[in-house]
Amino acid sequence: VANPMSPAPRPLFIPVILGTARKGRMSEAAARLVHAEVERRDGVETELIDIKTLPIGIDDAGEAVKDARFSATIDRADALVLVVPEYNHGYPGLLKHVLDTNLKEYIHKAVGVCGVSAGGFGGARVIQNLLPVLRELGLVTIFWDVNFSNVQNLFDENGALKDPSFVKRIDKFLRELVWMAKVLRHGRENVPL
Amino acid sequence: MPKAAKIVCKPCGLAMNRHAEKLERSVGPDETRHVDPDLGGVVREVHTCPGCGGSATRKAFLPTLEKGD
Repeated sequence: VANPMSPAPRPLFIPVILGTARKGRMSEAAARLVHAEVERRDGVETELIDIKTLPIGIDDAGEAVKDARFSATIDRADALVLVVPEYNHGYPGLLKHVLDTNLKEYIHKAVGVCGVSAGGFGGARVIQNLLPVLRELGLVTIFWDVNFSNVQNLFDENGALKDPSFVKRIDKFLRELVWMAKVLRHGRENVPL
Repeated sequence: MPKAAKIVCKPCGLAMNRHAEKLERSVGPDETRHVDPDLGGVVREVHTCPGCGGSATRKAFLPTLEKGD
């Protein structure tokens, strides 16, 4: 039973990362949809991070090129949602470059991945290829994904979703992500190693 | 064995919770002397504040293992 004298819990912070900078990217509509669904949830704050806009240089790598604002956002986050297109069965190189600019900011935080593809597999291969990277960063992956298959047919010219079944799929994904985010926050703040 | 002092969160003043150790394999030349040869990298402790959720790290203290440990 909740104690009415207890202060309101801090809301979870779950940013959504749009993981490609390619012109004409269809992942943007998917990322905006997922971000809107996160935003609708009680007790959750969010932000849409477009890696195209991050001032991260490419003449070095890792923490040497970290952006202070992006790092502060990741440090504040309880979980991340990655919206990632599949390029030649892999993840966009720029996304890997951006993710590698942080390390401690990710430890014991939840992450869920939404794959995007023009074909029928919905980015399943990019998700599989990304999992070991996320694990090494210290993130904790969930076992629900969202697969945006045939993405060119899923949204209209204004970015509006044409297949409402995705709202239910995203809800299932976010329910699991929020649960994991709560558990891991409790662990980070209260359970010593 | 003496315990390392808790890290205190600067904004909150609360003792942070040490909840993880992370092996960092790619370290700069100024940190190569801290590389643990058995583990192949620098071990960092990760701490989180129970008040604001902010994180902090420091190099972990690794006691030398005795034979049979």
